[in-house]
Amino acid sequence: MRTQNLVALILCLMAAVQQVQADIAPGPAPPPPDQSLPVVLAGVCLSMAIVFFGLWFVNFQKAAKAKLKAAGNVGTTPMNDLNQLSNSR
Amino acid sequence: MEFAVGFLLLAIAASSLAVYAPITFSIATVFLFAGPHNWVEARYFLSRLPARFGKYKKFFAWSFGGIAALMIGYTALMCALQIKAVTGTAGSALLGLWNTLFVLWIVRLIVLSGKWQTDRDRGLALPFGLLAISFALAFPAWFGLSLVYLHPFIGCWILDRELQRSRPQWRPTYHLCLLSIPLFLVAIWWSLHGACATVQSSDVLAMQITRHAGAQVIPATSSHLLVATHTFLEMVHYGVWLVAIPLVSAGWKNWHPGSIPIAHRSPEFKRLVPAIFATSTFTVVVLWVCFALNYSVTRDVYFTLAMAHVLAEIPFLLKTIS
Repeated sequence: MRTQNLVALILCLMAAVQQVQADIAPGPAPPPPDQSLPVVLAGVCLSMAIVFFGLWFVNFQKAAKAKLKAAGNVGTTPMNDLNQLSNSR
Repeated sequence: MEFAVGFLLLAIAASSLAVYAPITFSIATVFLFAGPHNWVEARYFLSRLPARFGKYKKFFAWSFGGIAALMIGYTALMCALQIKAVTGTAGSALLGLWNTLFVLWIVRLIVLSGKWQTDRDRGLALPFGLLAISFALAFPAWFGLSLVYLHPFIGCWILDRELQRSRPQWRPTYHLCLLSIPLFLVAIWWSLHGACATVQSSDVLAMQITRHAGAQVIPATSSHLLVATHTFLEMVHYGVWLVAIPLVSAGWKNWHPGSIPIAHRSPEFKRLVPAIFATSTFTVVVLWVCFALNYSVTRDVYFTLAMAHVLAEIPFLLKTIS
């Protein structure tokens, strides 16, 4: 029974494949699609990409400055503490 | 050492066959390895899925939802173009929309995958995504062709991640093997350069293969060279999935579906996983039968449906590198 089902399935597949092959027989070449809208949209996306790159760069610089400032504070704090200690003496 | 020797032997054989008989080699590789490599890929992905998604729930929801939606859209578009249900302009616009959604989906996945890695700067995902969308809209044929040629390297990247996880001592050797790929490509181009090596495109199948390799997009380049390059890269991809990844991940040692974590999620999943195995095995056999009956049509249908595995590799790779 299972073998029969498999044979039936293969026959159906063969028929379907032949049908698809008949359907995709080469026809006349379609006219070239209009490319103006995609190019405009591509330009918009490119502009947006440049803006977002700029924003990322500004944020990156801000973060780097903040990191540098924090590192500077860490370095000076013990010196201040030392000065205060010597003054108190 | 054995890994490097095996890799180099495969690459030498693949490049030689790709240079001397590109069409025949392409037909043979797709016939023999296309289905089994998808089977191994599905088996590997299933084995690497966690039993509980936990904090990755959103990432996996976007992954599966995106794969399903993009796959339905792609198949419907290809069918509509095949039966000429849409005009050339509408088809081109729909393909542009599909490409845009595809890139946005990847951007979303990158942002989500970065959530569990605080030191990763994911702010660049959107600008790079927009750059890719503008390229896809301005040059849709080149975008499609770049997917065809870049896809084999995703398998190589996944293998690299698997090596890092399972056999880190093999990684330097593997990196040297990867560095040899450009050398093989140069050797292929050098041996075919200058010769009037154009594939005879009188029959439908040869036309199909040359078109898939990009002969219509780069008409100035020899179609022989394009088919040889594409077939060589495809063979490397098949080698990675059929030999290297099962070998490295010890996939052959445990065939039992019970070894897959997601099978233990619930009793339904315990029944679902063997059913997936049985269905995918049956699909591979059916694919071989269909290839034997009508190679040309089956190849077209296969490469349309194979977009699913191209899509599935993306979230999987993102998860492994996060």
